[in-house]
Amino acid sequence: MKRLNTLAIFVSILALAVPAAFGQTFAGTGTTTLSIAVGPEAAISVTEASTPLSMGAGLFSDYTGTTNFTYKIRTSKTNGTGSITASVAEFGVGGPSLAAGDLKYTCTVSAPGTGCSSEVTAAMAGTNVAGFGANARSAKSGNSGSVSWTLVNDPQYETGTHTSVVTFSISAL
Amino acid sequence: MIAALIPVIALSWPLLAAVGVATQTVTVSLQPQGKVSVPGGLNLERGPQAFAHYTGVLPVSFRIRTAPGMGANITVQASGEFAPGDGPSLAAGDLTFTCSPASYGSACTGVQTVSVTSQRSVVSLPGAACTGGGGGCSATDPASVQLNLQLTNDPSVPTGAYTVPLMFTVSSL
Repeated sequence: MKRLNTLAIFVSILALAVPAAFGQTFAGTGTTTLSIAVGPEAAISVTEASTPLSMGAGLFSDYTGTTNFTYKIRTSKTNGTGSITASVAEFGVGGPSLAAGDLKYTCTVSAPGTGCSSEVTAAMAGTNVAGFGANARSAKSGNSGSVSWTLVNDPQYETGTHTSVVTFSISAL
Repeated sequence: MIAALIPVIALSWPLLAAVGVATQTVTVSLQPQGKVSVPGGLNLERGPQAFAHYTGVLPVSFRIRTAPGMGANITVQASGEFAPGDGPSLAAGDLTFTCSPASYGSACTGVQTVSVTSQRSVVSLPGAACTGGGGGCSATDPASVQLNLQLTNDPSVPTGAYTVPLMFTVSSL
């Protein structure tokens, strides 16, 4: 009986001492399957850090300028949507006024995006630049787009430099 | 006293007589052999930024015995393209890997591209290599290496789940 107990203890110790490798399956070849779940996502990069608006040829002609960007997007196959919006901060005192509708823009966005169809009045709340439907997918290096700004040249503006920060946002579902 | 010892000697004699010396030569012919073990599956996860690469770490364990002057390689090759077919593309070089230092042998260096048509070396082992026991052999049995896999996050790939099988082989034994 004592010998049996000793044997049982020995077997137990041996089982504990077996290397973890024995739990693995070793063969001449080994196969693994890599899996990925690809979801909707979007990113945008604005090309210019600043966009100067320049006055046209005639006196008190509007100021104009263009901001270029590159976007990447992938929307869901079914019921997917996406958008690019622009949020513009108010100019300082003595300068142009968003509230007065002084700044407007038009959009040019390459497929699969659809740019804003008509002139949009810029606002602090995000306004539409482009829309995307289901299963919209940009190129690997991204697709291009631009916003062309038109700022009213109001004689009421004080002379000097006036600035506003525009934030472009992109989303995909 | 002598009389008392005689029975003891008499009793011991048969036992001593049972002890003999026999010589037997055991010959084992060890053949080169190699086996590999990998997990059955691995999920590649996207980084925190939009369109960051998908990455994953795959542990590869191996046991090896090579003949003197005859090295061996552990290689990896895809058994097929990503499925379903509109997913990432091995042909486009979307899936690459680097190797962490192997516990035994020489792991791959630089960035390797996983191919469906050709094998890529993961670990090179010299002649007279053996796993376990230390000395000229590896300190641990099995030995191991890690593959750091990276999959390009291409926006043109539709949302969904994709898989690709990888086969590891011990070659040139």
